[in-house]
Amino acid sequence: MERSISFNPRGDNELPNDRSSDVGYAANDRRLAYSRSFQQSHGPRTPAVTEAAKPFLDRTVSSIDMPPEIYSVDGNDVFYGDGKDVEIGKVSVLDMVWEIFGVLRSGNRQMKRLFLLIALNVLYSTTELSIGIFTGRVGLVSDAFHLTFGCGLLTFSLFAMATSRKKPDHAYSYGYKRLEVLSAFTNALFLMFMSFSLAVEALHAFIQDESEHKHYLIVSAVTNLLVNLLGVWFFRNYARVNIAYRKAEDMNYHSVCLHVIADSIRSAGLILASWLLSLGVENAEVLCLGLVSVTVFMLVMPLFKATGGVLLQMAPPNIPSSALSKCLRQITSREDVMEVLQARFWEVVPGHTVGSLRLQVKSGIDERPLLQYVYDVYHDLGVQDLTLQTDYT
Amino acid sequence: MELEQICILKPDDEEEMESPSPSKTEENLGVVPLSCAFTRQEHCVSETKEREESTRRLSSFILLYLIVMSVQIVGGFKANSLAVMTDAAHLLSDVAGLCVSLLAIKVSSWEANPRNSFGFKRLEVLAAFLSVQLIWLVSGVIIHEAIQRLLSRSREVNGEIMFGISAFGFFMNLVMVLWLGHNHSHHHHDHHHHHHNHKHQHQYHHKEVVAEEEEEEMNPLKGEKSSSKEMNINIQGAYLHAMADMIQSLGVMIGGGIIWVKPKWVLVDLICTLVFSAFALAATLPMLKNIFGILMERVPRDMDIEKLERGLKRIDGVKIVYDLHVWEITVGRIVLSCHILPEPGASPKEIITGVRNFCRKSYGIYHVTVQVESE
Repeated sequence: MERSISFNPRGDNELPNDRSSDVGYAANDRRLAYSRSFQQSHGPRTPAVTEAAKPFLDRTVSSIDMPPEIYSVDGNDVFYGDGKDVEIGKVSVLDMVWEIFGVLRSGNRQMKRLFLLIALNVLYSTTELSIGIFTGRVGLVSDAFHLTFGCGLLTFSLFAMATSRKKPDHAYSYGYKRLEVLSAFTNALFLMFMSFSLAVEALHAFIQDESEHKHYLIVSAVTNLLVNLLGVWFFRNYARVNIAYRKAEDMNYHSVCLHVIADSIRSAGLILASWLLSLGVENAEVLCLGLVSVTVFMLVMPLFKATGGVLLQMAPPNIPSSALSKCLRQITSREDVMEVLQARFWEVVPGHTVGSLRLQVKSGIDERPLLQYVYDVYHDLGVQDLTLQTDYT
Repeated sequence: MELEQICILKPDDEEEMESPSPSKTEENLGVVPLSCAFTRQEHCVSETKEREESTRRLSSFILLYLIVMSVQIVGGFKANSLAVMTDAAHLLSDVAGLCVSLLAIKVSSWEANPRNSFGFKRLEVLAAFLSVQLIWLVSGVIIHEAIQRLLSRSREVNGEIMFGISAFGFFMNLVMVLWLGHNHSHHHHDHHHHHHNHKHQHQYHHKEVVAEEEEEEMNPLKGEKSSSKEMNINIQGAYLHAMADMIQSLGVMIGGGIIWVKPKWVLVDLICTLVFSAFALAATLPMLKNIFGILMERVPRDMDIEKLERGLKRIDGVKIVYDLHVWEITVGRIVLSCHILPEPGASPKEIITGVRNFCRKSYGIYHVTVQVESE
């Protein structure tokens, strides 16, 4: 006789439809449990994994120490009601304006800083564009265009930060946090494009050999550099190339920081090129632009790969594949289990791993200890949501 | 390959699993028994044909564009015309977009492995995203060029050449749009025939095997029909790219015509370019919404999840459905996972079968994972 055994990992007294434990970071304690469980020795797994448990961002910074309530399911979702599903892309202008005020009122510190940065950039690029058009200087216009693109992307990042606080609804069953990963990917893509276009510009300068000194561009480059350095200061905790992403916002903030760093490197490169040209160095522009292009490309690559991996639903990078296969072996080696099929693990956002698994078991056995075992094995790895289908033969 | 062997073993040797099980674990050290649905689907014959067809079409386009581009570069160099060389650069971006689509189609046919347990279909969506971003970038460049034309009032802007080049570009894009759009409807009919033949063959071979698992896994082949209802997202992306280019070429053509006739009306050219670029960008918005939805693990747009949940509840033995997640890997390939609280005394095997059949028949969802709990 086949009996189905229940296993509710969240405890039998909890209402099963408790959505908040799906996505919210009330699982703060789970993360601690995850890292704590690795501090104990786990045999051959230890060396690879304890490294992942060390905090990468060691300096205590206010942004990282934000209390967890900010991120998740509470009254901070002020502007849109509970059941209302905002179609991304169907927002009217009034909604956007209202949202901007909402950001100013209820955003966390990073959001406010980002907003300030965007405002400065918009101001600066409109000034540059108008001056460029009225005085007929093409260089200023191109620079203004480049800035505008960047501003648009930063606005998208801000929008992502604001929207990701909404609760999951009937259209987005995993919630909106993944939007931050998406915006990080968009930023990374833009930076790759920028590096490519800088390379093209370098080639252009090499072929055309323009020795026209654009002195007015230096003022613009210096101002740009200052604004971007301010941005780097705001996001200084994320000013590294390789970061272990532990939450969704980590990726978004990292991408914004890389964006401003890349912009400031570009401005610095332009300034350096003009200085070298005035010193009489030949092909200074080509060299500097080429250098900047290569640097930006190398800066962005890790972020691009990491966000791409999350978006492609690849296996979580913080769980080594040897650990996963060891778990599978452990499960298969139990006498009740005949086979494990369709073991898939992926991350909704960094830090929230979801898995689904199918087990072929012999019929008529008591499943509860088996299910408990499987859940424990994967919980140790940090998989928070697991859907386990047991097929009887 | 090893993965394939394990997959094919599964349905036939279910009874023999018990004895080799301990020795099998040694074998499995490097290889993880995986999703057969995702690996086997890649070998579906009609899907391979569709992929080959798309690859062929895209490669021929790339070749055509490369030839035209080299002609333009040589011609522009000889005539010392910056405008022609700029258009060559524009064509280069077109080629880049097509190459990205082609690469995505090739890569997405790779088999799933432990690191990419869902296969590589999602890569198509990312590649389409990249294409759309390219379109936006190119629009920015075109607007920039228009402003440059406005600013260089003192220098001669040759309306004739501008008109000629953009007309040429317009026609090339028109050809591509028509060819891509036309071939798709043709293809749809072929696809149906292939599916019918294939299904018959398989049903004959596997008549003996009664295991419903087998039948279930064979039927995913039928499911590809839903993916060809809309175009493969990469072909859609290439189509959109050509369409946006066409609209913009039209705008530049009109602007060039105006400058040719009335060389002083440069501002009109700028306004015209802006308007047409806005059109082209607006054309990309629906696709962007679709792409964002898929990347955000959104419930597929044409599906009402409440209705699905109600349908699931109506299945015999299902009391409560919770933790229901439905999302798409790529257009047409839908995945579902849920937890079910059954009625007391219901058989979990029947519930699972009922849920899987329901999902497959009513919604075309072939990748279903159901956890049956009990009181």
